[in-house]
Amino acid sequence: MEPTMTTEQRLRIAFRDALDLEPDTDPASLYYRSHPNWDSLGHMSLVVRIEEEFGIEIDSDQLMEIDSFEAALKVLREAGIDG
Amino acid sequence: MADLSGRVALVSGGTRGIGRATAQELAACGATVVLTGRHEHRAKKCAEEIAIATGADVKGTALEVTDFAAAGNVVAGVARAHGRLDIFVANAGIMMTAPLGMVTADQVRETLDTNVAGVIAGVQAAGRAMMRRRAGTIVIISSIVGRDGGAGQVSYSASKAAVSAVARSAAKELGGFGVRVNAVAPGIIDTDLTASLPAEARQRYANGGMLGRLGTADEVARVVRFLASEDAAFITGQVIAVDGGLVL
Repeated sequence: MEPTMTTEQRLRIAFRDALDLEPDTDPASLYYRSHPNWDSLGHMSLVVRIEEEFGIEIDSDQLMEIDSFEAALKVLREAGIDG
Repeated sequence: MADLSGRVALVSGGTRGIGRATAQELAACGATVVLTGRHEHRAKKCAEEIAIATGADVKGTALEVTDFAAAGNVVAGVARAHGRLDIFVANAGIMMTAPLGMVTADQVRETLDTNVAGVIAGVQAAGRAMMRRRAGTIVIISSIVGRDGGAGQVSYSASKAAVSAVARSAAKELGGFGVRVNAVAPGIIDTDLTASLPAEARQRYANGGMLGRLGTADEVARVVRFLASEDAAFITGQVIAVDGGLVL
């Protein structure tokens, strides 16, 4: 991780890695099931990748809440990760 | 014998029969073991006995597997408390025998709640913990009647067929995260659970196997330990019969 990267930039990378997004796909425009790779199995990969990136544990309720890039940012903010 | 030193194992339904034998087998191989039972005092007592017998770190805790959320929380709590969960053995289960014509809706629901929903809750929570570390192994205790059925066991055999499918499905989902999932399908094992079978049925099963006897809980536990160890590092999504040749 680059030390100067923002939370949003790190989350974009996590989305790209976990969902294997094409370069021209903007993670911030996605919502659950809007992209063929963001299905239920892709969602689990995404959640694990976010946990790894930010060193947090996402519980079952939060896991269901993450249905968009913005929702993922909200979960991170609630975990005290911002900036 | 495999070296499981440094591994953390959780065995549901670990106070009796196959579960207890498995907890003891894993502990004897050096694993830190948490076993669960419906009654906390019994789980703690059993854990103490295994700890004394093996010298391993063994703890007991209460778990009612029919409470989906609670089951998940207990599994997740063990992983959190130890910082890891390497082995999960989903063993807790019930067997109520009743012929098809007499089985009740309540019996069906209770069997499926305990034997299927309870297993899924545990596998879900264990899988999450293991996915984070991209390592771990899950062994589900199924039964040979889950493949071949059993007279008077319509609910139980259905539940065991279901958990064999859980093992295969979970193996497909979790394999990419380095987590293996297998099932063991015991034949007729000499435990409290099978003691409820009619004597005639027990004898018939014993005679039906190529080895001509009932199995022991230790014999099943050793296969569970194998699947949980690195010796089985390339085995996932399998249902291994431990039945003395009952099904050939």
